[in-house]
Amino acid sequence: MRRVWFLLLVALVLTLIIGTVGFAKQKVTLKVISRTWAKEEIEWAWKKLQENHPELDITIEYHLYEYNETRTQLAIRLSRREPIDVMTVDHIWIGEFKDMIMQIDKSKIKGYDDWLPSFRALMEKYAEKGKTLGLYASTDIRLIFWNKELMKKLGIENVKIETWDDVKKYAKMIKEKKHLLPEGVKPIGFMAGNSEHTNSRWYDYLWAAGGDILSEDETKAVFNEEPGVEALEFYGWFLKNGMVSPEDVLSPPNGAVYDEAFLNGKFVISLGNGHWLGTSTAKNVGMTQEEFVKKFGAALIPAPEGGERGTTVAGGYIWCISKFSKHPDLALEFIYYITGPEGWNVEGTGKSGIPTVKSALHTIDNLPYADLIKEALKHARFRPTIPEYPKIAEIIRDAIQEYVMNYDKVSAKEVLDKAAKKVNEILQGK
Amino acid sequence: MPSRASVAFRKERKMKRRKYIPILLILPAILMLVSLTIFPLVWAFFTSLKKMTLLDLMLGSGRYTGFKNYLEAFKDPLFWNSLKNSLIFVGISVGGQVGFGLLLATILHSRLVKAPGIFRALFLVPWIASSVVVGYSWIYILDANLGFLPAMATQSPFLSFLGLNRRDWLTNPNIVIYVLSVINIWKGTAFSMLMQSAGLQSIPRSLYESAEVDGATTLQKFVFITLPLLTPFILINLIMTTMITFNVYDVILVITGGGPAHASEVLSLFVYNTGFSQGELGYAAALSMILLIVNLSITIIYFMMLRYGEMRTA
Repeated sequence: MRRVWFLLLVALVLTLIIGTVGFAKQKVTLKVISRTWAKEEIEWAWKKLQENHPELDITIEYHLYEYNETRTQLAIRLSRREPIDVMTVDHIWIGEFKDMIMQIDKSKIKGYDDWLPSFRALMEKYAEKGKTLGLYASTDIRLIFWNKELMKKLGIENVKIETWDDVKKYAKMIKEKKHLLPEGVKPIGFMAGNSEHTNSRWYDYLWAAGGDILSEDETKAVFNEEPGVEALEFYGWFLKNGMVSPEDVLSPPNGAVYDEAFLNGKFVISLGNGHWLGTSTAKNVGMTQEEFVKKFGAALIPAPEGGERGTTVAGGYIWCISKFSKHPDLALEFIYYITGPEGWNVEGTGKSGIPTVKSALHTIDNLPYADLIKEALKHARFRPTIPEYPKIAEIIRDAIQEYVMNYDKVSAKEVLDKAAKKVNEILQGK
Repeated sequence: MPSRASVAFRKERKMKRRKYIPILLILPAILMLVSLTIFPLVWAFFTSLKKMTLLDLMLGSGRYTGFKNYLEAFKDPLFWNSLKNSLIFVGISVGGQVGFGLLLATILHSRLVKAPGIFRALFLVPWIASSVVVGYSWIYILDANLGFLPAMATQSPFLSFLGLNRRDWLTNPNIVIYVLSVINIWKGTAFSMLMQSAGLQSIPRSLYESAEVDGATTLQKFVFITLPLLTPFILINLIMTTMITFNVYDVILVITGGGPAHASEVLSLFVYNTGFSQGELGYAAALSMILLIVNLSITIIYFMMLRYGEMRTA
């Protein structure tokens, strides 16, 4: 009898063990390296992944960093061959990280053609045929803005800016009636502080004039050619005509400080701000979107005679799968949730910026100047993606600052040529 | 009953064991020193001998180039510019911090101030505040567009009289490094004040009382009692402040980013930009080794001064 009881007990224990093992979910951990702002998106995509895979016990181990730290952390971890599954790569870093990224078969991506063509082209830039390096999450664009309230004070209404001459015309009108403005307000503002925003906002004008930063094969500087000189002289015109002083434009250490100064009425016209001026920056200074639209006007980046109107730098990150990923299929599904159209149509996914998928573009309809943003997207350009770009950017920024500080002593051509020489030396590996 | 020999043996064993206890106690500190200071230092030195970018780091393709990075630094005008800025920044900051620190400590130590603890705590605020907070606070004071000083200066005859009616505090390449030095003095003086307060508290009151009996004036007491007894504290303070200030880059990064056109880029910020913005790890490591040598050289000079002072006192 005791033996029977014993056998029954053994059978019960075995059943329990086999049952637990058999029905236990398989544990999977996805390792994600991203930026500090991505927390909400990651959490949402994690939830989606769990809903879609009830058979798995999924954990997301995420590490979030500030801008430079993200790049350094990725490099250090990848050098150790750490099994990172998902990584957020600023699009200007893709040349640097391309060999560490697992290329994805485009056919595996649901609705791949939904991504806007220019963003698709960038995602595929270093990939083999039929493949992509990752998926673009969101982007940002630049527009020219003006303070409608201040313009109205000067009797200037129905402002229409399309060309560089239009900007000059309005700047002249403002200067003539400057006495009607509060003390310290400048007719024109642009960013020339020690930040990448100085570069990116100047590139808009360089592209508008028909120029570019580097040659198409990215082996030679071309920003010092005629369009570049024209674009820098355009800045110089306002300095030379006393519409703004060097300290006004050199002072902001970053784009956020400059944007805040503009929202606080320090400049009547601002040559370039990101689309976020009417959303996050306005919110930071206690302004609603409605108040923003009432107070500020906007237009596409103007062009000189014969130039391209609306050119804008496009920023943003590409979500990639690392070469050392242990769960590439799950990682692909994860980055699809973060970047694809689905998340844009749901509340609380933490998405911000401008979608890069066509089917989600309607979600920005409630943003200030949404039509202009959509139009600017068609003219979006990217900065070079070669590893040398951070050095090149610093040299170009130095040139812009040197010109702004000494606009009455040096010519735009001189400073740009000097910068181009340095850039070419870097590109030739000297 | 244990024999004499066994008692002696046990005692000896106990003594031997005791000999290891101090070693065991300092072992964690030695391990920390090796892992957190010596190992990274050696690693940085070897990295400085390589041509290595972030890309090389990932691909494992960094190659030894000997002292080429060092030679490149000596040919780089940006290096010399940042070294010059560093020397100005450190010179003014250290002088100001130690000087004002001594002044504040002396005032707070005197009988003139009631409740010195409250003032000491207040003066500590800039020192304990994060560099980002300090940086943005000064942007809102000095920035040409958002700063209240430029806004006030244009309207206030008093500020105009003082020569403060300018808007280019952070953009004039000829003055920006001096402005940043003043900000650093404001931020770091509390540290000097604390060190020297400790020094002042270590001076016996009886010395002052004896001097008073002899009819010494306040100035005489300061020159003949306070200063000589405070000298070791001042020198240690100088050493520490110099080392700390040579490595300051965060406040400058927030306020000017080293600009305009590198006018406020100090050596530590140049290292940061080279390593973390441009991804030139080998070159940045070489620059940081040079920074270390400059820092060490100045520290050695201070130590020699300290020793000379001690010998003279003896």
